[in-house]
Amino acid sequence: MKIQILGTGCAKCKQLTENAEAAARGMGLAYELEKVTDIKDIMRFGVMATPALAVDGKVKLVGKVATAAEIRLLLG
Amino acid sequence: MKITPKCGCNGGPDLMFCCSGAADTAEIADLAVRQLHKAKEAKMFCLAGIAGDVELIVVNTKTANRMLVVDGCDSDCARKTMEKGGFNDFIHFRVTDLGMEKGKTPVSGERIAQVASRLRELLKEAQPCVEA
Repeated sequence: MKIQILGTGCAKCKQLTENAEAAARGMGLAYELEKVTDIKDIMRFGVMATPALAVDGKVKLVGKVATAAEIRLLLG
Repeated sequence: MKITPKCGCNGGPDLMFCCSGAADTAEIADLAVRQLHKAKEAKMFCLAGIAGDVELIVVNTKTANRMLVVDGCDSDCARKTMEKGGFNDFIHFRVTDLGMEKGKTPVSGERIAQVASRLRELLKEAQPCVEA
């Protein structure tokens, strides 16, 4: 599973990354984490706001720092 | 979809959804919304994507700072579509509420400008959406 965090690296992006990793580890998932920070690469996902989270290239969450519990629902 | 994303630290975009009716008042609504979109005052977004539960459209709509939903008449198709899609925190406006009668209001620059002006007022008065 590839978890992609889209964002230029602000505090919200970092928090989302931490929460996503906590969720994936808590579920015992084998995952690869990718941080997409280049704005042109972020634009290719079609998101309107950052931070955003994609799973295997599919956008699941936009413009919000979801909790680990909320992210578990997206990863499950 | 080529969109320059906004940093969520400062809130999401202001979004507008418009009905897709064939009537004159629907056309006025559409053109007024497009006027604001072209002037980058708010972003016109895709009502059909909400109706079709298109994932990328729905997740992006959830980021909206403020949302304006515009109908051409009191059938309120746009409002009902948004509510059916689970969105309730928006400002709703009907072109016919300005006294323009459906089927009897030829599309004109003046009428489009009148509606666009009212939409600007509503956006100014609006409170940001409650965070989902």
